[in-house]
Amino acid sequence: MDCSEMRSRALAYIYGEMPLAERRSAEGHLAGCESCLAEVRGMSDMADLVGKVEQVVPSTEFHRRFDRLVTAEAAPARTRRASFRGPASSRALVAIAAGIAVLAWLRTEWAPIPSGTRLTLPPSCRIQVPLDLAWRDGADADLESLRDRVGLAVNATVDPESGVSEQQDTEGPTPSWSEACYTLGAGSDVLRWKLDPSASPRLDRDLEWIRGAIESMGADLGEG
Amino acid sequence: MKSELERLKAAQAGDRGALERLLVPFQTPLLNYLYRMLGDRHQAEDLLQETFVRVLRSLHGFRPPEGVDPGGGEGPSPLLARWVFTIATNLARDARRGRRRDPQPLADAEVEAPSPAEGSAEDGGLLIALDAAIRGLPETQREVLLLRIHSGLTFGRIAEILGCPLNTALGRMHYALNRLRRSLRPYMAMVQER
Repeated sequence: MDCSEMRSRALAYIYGEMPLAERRSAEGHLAGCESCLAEVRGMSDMADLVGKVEQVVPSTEFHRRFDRLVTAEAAPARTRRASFRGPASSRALVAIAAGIAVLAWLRTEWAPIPSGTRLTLPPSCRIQVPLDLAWRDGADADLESLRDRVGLAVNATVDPESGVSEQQDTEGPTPSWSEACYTLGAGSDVLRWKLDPSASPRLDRDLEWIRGAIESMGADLGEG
Repeated sequence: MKSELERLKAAQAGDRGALERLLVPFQTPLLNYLYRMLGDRHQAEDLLQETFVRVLRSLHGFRPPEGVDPGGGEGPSPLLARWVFTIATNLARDARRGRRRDPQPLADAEVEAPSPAEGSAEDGGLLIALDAAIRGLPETQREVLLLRIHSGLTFGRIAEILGCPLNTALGRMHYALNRLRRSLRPYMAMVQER
């Protein structure tokens, strides 16, 4: 090995990424070349030093959020995956509506929702907060805001530990279209995707999309 | 004792303990990498969270790269390291591009000064100077250096993350170390004299 080769391979030598035969050749060169030895030593000292750079550690708040995220992800499969429980006819309705939600998402202009639009939901259904939403600061407050602003049923609750929201058995007034849309959308990949904070980092923008999807679905189905 | 592959499979099946054992060792290395790439502790934690969200979202479909020693120690899993650090690198790049498009007021973008490391005063001073010198490196050099420090990956894997040839990654690392040597020469001499 000559000086030029030694210097071009110095990092591989220092970091132990050199094959054994090449390493022996490098050591042979360094034993007889003070200039290369000084260069490699200087670089090796600096490599050691940067390895000692001070470590910052995650904050307590981060650990709390991490626990919540892992809990939500590790929740039993029926809670994580089955976003809807109900009769077969209702599930079929969900499938149709989910398809419409995809179409609604593709639309660029939203039609207004007809006044008094209503949809009958099955007696028991479940919604799941998208992972991205559950992860945020104040996920509970965000959900409250969602309920207020898109008219989600008041009897939806959030498990503070897992961040998973479960809608209890619906009783009383028939859920509105808004509720249906959020119920479907929150458990679907469609809404989860749209709530990706990197694509849509602000809740207001998310709400705008949800509202638009609701209005579009209502207009397309013509329920009233 | 579970192997890394078994642990990964258990995590993919939703085993909470396996998920924690798989992801927790990445927290500090990723945070330090992002912190020194961005110079902002809060933004680094936000992107750390986003990295984990993306990892969890895709973990069930993740297939470990072939030819990687699965290891089995307590540190970050070698099976996931390249993938996880690729996600973090892309997020950091996007964040820096966004910052250039929409410059923050100085107070928000200000780099926090690290607290002196434990140990002697002169060593603390050297480490503070080192931290500042690392942040002063050009972005491409800093990426390679920090990936090497925090990910434990080989230069070959780092080149894959950065999407550049191996020799380019090695060249950037070479420049980075030489630049740090020049920047820290006065501090090094001072410490050696004492």
